[in-house]
Amino acid sequence: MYAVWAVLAVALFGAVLWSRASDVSIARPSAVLERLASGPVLRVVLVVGWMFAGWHLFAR
Amino acid sequence: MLVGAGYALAAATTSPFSWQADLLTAIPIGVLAVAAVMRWPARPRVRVAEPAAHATHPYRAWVVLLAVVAAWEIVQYAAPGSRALHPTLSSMADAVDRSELRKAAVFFVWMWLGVAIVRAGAARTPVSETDGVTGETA
Repeated sequence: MYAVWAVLAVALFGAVLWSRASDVSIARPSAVLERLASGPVLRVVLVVGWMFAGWHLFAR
Repeated sequence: MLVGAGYALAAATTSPFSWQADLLTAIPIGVLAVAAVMRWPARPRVRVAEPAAHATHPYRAWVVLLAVVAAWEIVQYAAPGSRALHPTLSSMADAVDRSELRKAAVFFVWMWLGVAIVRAGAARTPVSETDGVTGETA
C-alpha cells in the first residue's frame, strides 16, 4: 500500500514540474495557493486546514 | 529564518499530548490567526491564474489529485488491519516524527506554509507578473 502513496507523491511532484513549463494547462502551486487564499470561503477552509494539520501532527 | 529554525527545533523536542507541545504548536496558530485578520482584506477579490492559450481549467489537475489523495486516505483509514499494512498520512507522519531533526524540518515547513498562506491572501494593488496570477472579480 505504500506503493500507492509513492505513486501519488510522484504524481504530485510531476504536477509541480509540469506547472513550471511554459504554456501548460495547469496552474503553478503559488497560483493555486493565491486562488485559495483570496476566496472568501476557501481562505477560511485553508487556514482551518493548516491549523488542524499542525495541531494533529505536533500537539495531538 | 534562524528564529524559525530554532523554534522548530524547540518544538521538535516536545512530546505530543504534553502542555509544552500544545503551547509551542498553539503559538504559530495564534500568530497566523492574528496576521490573517490584520493583513487580509475583509472583502477579498478572487485572484485566478492567468491561463495559457488552451487552458480552460488550470486548477482541474490539482483538484483531481487532491480528490484521489483524500479518497485513498479514507480507504486506508477504514481498511481493517494494521497501519503497517494500511498506512495513512498520519501514520506516515508519525514515523517521520520519531526523529527530532526530521520533526523539526516538518514543523519548519508547516510554519513556512503558514507564512505563505498569509502572504498569498494579503491585499495588494499592483498585480505581479512573476507569479502567474491576475486580479479578477468573483
